[in-house]
Amino acid sequence: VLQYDVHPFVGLSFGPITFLICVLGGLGNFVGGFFAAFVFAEIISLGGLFSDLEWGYVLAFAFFIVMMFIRPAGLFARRS
Amino acid sequence: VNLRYAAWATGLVALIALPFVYRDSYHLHILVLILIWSFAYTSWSIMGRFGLVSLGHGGFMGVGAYVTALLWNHLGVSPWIGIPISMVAAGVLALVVAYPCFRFRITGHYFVLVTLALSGIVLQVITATRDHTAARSATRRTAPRAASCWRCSSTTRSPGT
Repeated sequence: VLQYDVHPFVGLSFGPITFLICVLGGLGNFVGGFFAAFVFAEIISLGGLFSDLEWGYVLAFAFFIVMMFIRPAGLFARRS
Repeated sequence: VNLRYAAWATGLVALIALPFVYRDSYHLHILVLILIWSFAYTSWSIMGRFGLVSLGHGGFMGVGAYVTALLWNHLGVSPWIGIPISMVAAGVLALVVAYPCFRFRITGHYFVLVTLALSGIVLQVITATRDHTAARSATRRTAPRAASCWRCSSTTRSPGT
């Protein structure tokens, strides 16, 4: 997950995170998914800048869990 | 009914007695793996019976295994005490995540993803504290730390350089 070498199983390392990003942006929301991918990547990269890369992933996953609690329908969900 | 209990008891006693009388380490290793997978399966099956799918069981298994192992490695606590402590630790972690899930009515896909992220957190924390947990990641250990963010490609270096 941490390094993107090319090997036959490279796709597996993207799977779970892609799934998380889809839901973070809101299922079916194209722009939201784009934005969520940006946010996720920035959290991981900035976390890796200030500490080990793994802590960036920890931050991103924790961010995802908290967002699921406060905005389960996605970042751009309209209040119903 | 009594006969059934007797059969179960006999099987249990045989299972407990086996490592004391049969010492082929490879076969015992296979047996240990069978038991580990079967309890992983059992816990998953129970979750399914509750109508919630969880992908975070690996995380809880990791907490259980690592708390026991680290208590033994660093504090010399016997696994007989460490195993109950690790069960409590995994339970506390589950409670911390499950209570908000319960309060905010997180079910279905969202619950799956929360637990998936949780197992990711456990995995990455164990990997990040590899100096203490001795998690295996040979390439990262030799990699320069500052480069970890900016190099999108591999930080692996070939042995020659």
